[in-house]
Amino acid sequence: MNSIMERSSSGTSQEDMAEDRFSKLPEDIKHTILYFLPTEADRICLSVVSKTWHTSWASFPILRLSESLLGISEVQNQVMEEEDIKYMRQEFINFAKHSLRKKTFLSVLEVLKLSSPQLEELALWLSTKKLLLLLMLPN
Amino acid sequence: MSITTENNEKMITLMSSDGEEFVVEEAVAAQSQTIKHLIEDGCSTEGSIPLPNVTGRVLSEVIQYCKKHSSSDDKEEKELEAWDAEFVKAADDHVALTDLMMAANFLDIKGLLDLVAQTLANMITGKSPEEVRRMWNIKNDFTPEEAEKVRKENQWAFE
Repeated sequence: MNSIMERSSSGTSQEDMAEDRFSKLPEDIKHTILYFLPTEADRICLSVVSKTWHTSWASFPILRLSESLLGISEVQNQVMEEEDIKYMRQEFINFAKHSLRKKTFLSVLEVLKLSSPQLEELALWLSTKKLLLLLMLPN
Repeated sequence: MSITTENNEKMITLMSSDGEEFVVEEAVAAQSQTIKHLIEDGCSTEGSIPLPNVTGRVLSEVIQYCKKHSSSDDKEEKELEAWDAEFVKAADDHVALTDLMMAANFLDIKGLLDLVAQTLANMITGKSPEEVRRMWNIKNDFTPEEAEKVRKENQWAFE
């Protein structure tokens, strides 16, 4: 009996605390938190937590694309088959395009440590969309 | 009422949403741009400013921060950084920090806002989406189809 009482009372107090104030933060504060997250992977992780956070990520104006997102370290690079690397690079480009499409606003595209074929493909793709980095991107 | 931040003797009363009163030097209160403008606009008749969005518990933390930052100058930057680190550590609870962040935003205290945002970002870094949801009781409001789509689109970014 006691344990049931305890369980129900702790359940109630948890519900009292259940208000999700994190998601109710104003948009510019959410952007400040996104700004302080060290990698794009951390930002993406937050963006899949809920629709609210996905919307905040989409309007966050910075996108950082880096090959380190791929998890190809230089050591791995040496032991990986060329075809695997090619495949992962293609996946990366797909991901980059996907992220760019999802952005409702973008003012800074940070491109780090991308191989030149990837950069060229990205630039080519951006130019076919007639997108400049300081333009609003379609969702 | 004219503002004279050099005059440390000038006191002002801040009233929290739950009726708690804090008497602080005007220079301390003016660390908040919101309060500073209220004082400049003469909104503090009889030296009292009501802050309907901030509870006494949070306001006392904010005042602690403002006191420290109004009394330190640039030369003490290192010491101030250490103090900041201790300050957020003392409030080492992400829900309490979220409240502090709301107050820093309303009161417009840039330094405090950045400090708390950085702390919260550090707490999130390296956590899985599920762990982040648990921390703040965030409801996963994606439909199963949407969730699957989002997972597929981003799956390798987490690996």
